[in-house]
Amino acid sequence: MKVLVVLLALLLLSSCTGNTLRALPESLPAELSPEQKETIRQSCARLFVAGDWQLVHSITFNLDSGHGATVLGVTVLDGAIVKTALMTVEGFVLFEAELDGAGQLEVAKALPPFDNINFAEGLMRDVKTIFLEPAAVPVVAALGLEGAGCRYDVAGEGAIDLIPTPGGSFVMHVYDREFTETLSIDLDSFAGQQSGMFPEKILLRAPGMRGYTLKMTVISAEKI
Amino acid sequence: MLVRILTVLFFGLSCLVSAQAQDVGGDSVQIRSVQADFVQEKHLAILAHPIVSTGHFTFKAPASLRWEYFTPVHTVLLMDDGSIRKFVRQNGRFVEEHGMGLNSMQIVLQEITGWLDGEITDTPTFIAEPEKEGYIVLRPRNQALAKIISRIELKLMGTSGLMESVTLYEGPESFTRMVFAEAVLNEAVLPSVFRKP
Repeated sequence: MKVLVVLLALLLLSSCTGNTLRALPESLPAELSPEQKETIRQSCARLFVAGDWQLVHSITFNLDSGHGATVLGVTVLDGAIVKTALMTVEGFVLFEAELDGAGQLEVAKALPPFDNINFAEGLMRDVKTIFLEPAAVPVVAALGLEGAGCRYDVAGEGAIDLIPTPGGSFVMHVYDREFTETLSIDLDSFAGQQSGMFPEKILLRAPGMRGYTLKMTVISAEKI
Repeated sequence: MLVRILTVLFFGLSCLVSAQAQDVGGDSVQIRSVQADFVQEKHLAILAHPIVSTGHFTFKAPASLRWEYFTPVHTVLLMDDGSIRKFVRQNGRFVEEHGMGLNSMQIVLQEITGWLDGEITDTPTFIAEPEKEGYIVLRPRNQALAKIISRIELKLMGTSGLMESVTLYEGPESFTRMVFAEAVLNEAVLPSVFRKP
């Protein structure tokens, strides 16, 4: 139970923690040709999932204290509907919820300590952030020290910077409405799966005094 | 609560494989150890395809158990001499997960003892009812447990008393089925099997 409580706390923090370690870098005009900008824009768009998919990940979290746990995460993208479940490796469902295209959240199952609306909302928001392209037209720009990338300025929610790295990976910075960074997500080891491209490894970090790391490794990605 | 339930079920269910083992002459066999492979399918309403796990377990009387998943995540649950430990393989080595709730150990032992001592019958946690031929259904006594596990269905392998499969129902569209194979009874098992991942 302690493990689950810690996990809950971590996941809650993943959506609630506001830290001030990194402010939103200003968008600077990138000295890129229109063709280069379009290439970057397309590579950003390809990062997100299109179509209907069933994704299963192992999710491991670690704390400096040595505590940690591994669970299975199920994500089903069905049109505009996002369905998510967390379960133990042994198969017990801890949490199951569905978010429709209008933003209506329906929690089908939530065992303590996951029976918390903040947890549900935060988890679904993180799932959307990782897998679905933001509802905004990306602007290609030089973003901080990491180079040119795409900035999605989502009205009323904040901003998301998505930056390709020279090694073929991506780093995503998520900012809240106050333009304070809340999450940093590394998307790595892309592999083709039934006409889709998915990162095999996702490293989600919440910086700050209560920092933590969630490591997601894809187990399966199936088109449905 | 969840860890307790999970531990009770998975440690206890492993013993069900051998709970009423009989020899070829039909006489009851004293269980000293049992090992078997298993394939687990997780079915859930939102899943278009079930999640399939594979593993192996080893039980040694009176209360030592190794429950190991090979895929999709390599984990090992070890129970020995009153301690329960869980390990997850990360980056090529096993890492112990802490906080498993040691109090669950006592409940686990009670369940195992109950299932091994008698037939598949009522325990402090479950009420056993025979259903259609070859099946036994366990229903939780506790309402809190019933919200998580509505029933457990045991499918017997002929008249041998061995379990062919165990299905745990969490809800109408959510269940976990484990199918056992390659069961081996009463082979010698090294103590280290229950102590090291």
